[in-house]
Amino acid sequence: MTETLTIAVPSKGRLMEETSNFFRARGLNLQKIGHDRGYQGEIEGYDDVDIVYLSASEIAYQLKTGQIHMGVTGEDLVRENIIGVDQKVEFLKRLGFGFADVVVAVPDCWLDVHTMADLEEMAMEFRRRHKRRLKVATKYMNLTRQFFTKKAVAGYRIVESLGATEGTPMGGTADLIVDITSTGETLEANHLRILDDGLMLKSEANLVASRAAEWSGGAAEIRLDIMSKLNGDPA
Amino acid sequence: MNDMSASAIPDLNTMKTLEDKVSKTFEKAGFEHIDPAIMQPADVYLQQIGEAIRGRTYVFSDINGDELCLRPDLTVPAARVYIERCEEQSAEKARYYYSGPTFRYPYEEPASSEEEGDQSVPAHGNTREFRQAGIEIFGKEEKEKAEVEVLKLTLEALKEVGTTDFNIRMGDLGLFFALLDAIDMPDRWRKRLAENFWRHEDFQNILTQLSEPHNLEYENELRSLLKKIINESPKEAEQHVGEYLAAKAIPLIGARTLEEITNQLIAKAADLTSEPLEPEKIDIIKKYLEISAPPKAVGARLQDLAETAGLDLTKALDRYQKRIELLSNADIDLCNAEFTAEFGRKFEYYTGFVFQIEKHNMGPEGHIAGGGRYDHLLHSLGLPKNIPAIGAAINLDRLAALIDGDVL
Repeated sequence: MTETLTIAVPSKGRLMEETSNFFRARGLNLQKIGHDRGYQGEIEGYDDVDIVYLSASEIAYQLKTGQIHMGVTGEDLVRENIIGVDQKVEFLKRLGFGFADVVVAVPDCWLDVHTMADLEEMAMEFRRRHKRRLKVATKYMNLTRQFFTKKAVAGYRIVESLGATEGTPMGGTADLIVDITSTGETLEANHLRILDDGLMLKSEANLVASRAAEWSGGAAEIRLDIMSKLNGDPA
Repeated sequence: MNDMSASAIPDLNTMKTLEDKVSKTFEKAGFEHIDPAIMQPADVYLQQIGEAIRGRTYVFSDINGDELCLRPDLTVPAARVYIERCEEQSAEKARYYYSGPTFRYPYEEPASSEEEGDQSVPAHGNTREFRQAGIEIFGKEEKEKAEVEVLKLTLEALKEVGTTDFNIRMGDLGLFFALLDAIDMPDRWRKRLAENFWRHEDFQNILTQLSEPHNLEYENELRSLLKKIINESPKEAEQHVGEYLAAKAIPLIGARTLEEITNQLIAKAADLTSEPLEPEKIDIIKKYLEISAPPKAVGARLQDLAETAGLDLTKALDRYQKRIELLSNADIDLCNAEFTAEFGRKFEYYTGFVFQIEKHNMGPEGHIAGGGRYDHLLHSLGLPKNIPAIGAAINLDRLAALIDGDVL
C-alpha cells in the first residue's frame, strides 16, 4: 500500500479561498479532482497527498479521530470540539486569516457589570431575585465552561444557540452571550458590550496536525516536505 | 472509545458480597431501602451545582430535546425521592439507604484558575461507572446525634466487610460560617466570602481585594455617577441611573430591571468609600483556615483564636464539643482522625460537618467513603423551607479493589 498524507481544507467561502491562496503563494497548488463541486482534491505534483474538502467543524472532528493527518480550521472550533486538545492535536501554524475573537458580551445597560468578577457578584443577586441562574447563549459550550471556571464565575446556565446569538438578550431567551466578533458592529447594534476581561480566545485559521492519525510509513516524511514549503516565504 | 471495558464490574462475586453486607448493616440500623432513578433530569444538577457539572457528568438530550443525565452521585437522586414522597404524604423524617451505579466522565477539568494550558487530565481510576452504597437522614433530628450516627454506621459497614485500617478526616463548614458571622464587616462582603468559600483562589483574591483601598477602574463618567448616587435614596439613585442611560441612548434590555442595576451600583459605590478590611480580621480568617489538628485538640485552639480576636463563638464551639463527646461515647476511635479547617471546601452543597474515610497510608487513592451535612439542598431542590439533611456514601468499586476479595 502506498502511503499518503491526507490534508483537509475548508470546503466553502472565504476560508476555502484564503487557504488556497496561502498554499499557492508557497508553491503548493490545491486543485479539485473531477467535478468542481466535488470534495476530493490534490496538490499539483504531489501524488502522495490527498486533499479533502470538509466543513470547518468536521475538520476539527476528524483531527480528533485521526481520520485526517492535517487540517486547516479555526482554533476556536478545535478548542471547542476537542477535550484534552494538546494530547489530541498539534497546532503547526497560524495562517493569518479567519480572525475571530470569542468574547463574553453583556447588555450595555448593565452599568454595574464590567468584569467577570462583577458578573459573578451580580449573578448571586440575580439568582436570589429571579429564582434562576443567568442564561448564557452560545455555541461554544466547552470553551465557555472552561473560561467561566477559570474566571471563577459559577452562577450561570448555558443555553445552546446555533445562530443569531447576539439577538438572544434582546429577545429574552438569554441574559448574556459568548460569541465570535471581528469588528464588534453586530454586538453594538444589539446593545451588547464586551466585558473588560471578556476576551476568551483570539482565534484565527490554523494548520493543525492530528496526533491520533497513523503517521508511520511515509506520512511523517511527506509532512516535513509540505511544512518546509508552508514555512517558507510567500512568493 | 477502545478503552471502554465490556464489563461494568470486574469481579461480580466480590461486589455482590460487599453490596450485601453493607446493605444488611444499613437495613439492621432501621434504614429503608430506596432505588433512585439512574437517569435524572439534568436541570436539577445544572441549577444546583451549575455548568461545572457538564465537565464531569454524562449530560445528553433525548429526541424531544429534553436534557437528561446519568446520575453522578446518589445524594441528589435520594433527595428527590424524599421530595416526591413529601408531596404525596407528610414524610417529615426519613432514613434511606441505597446501592447502585453512578457515572462520571473519567477526565477532570482543572477547577482552579492557576492551571493553564491543557484542559483535562485523566482522573484516578479512569472508570466511567462506579457503585456507591450510602445512607441519608432527612428531617428534624438532633444535629450532632445524627452526624455521629451516620459516621458510626459508615464505619460499621466498613468493618463488616473487613476493613478496619483507616484514617478519618473531618471538617466543619458551620464553624467557618460562624466565624465569618462573628467578624465585623459589611454584610455584602460576608456574603461574597461565604459564597466563594469552596473556591480557594477566588476566596484568596476576594480577601486581598477587600484588604486593599478600593479603587474601581471605571471610566470617569461612571465614577461620577457612582459619586452622585452614593448619598441618595434608592428611588433617587434609580432616577439618576435612568437619566444616565437615557443621555447615552442605552436602552434597557433583558430581564434585569433598572432597580436591580441601581442596587448593585449602590453596593459598588459603598465599596468605594468603605474602609478596607483590617489586616487583623484577615489574619483571623487565615489562622482559622490553617488549623489542622487531632479533633480533640481543636476546641482549645478555637477558644484561643476567639479570645485573642475578641470574638464570640460560644454557640459554634459548644456544638463542636458536643459532637466530640458523642463521638467518644459512640466508641469511635479518634486516634487516627484529623480535623482540618479547610476540609469540605471542595464539595459545593455541604453546610456543616463533613468527613472522609481513607485507607491507611494511601492518600486520596485510599478514599473509600465520605459524607456530611447539607441543610440547604432540599430547599433549593424545591421544598418550601430548609430541611436538615446528612448522609454518607461508600465507593464500593474502590473498596473492592482495596480488599481484593480475600478478606471476605
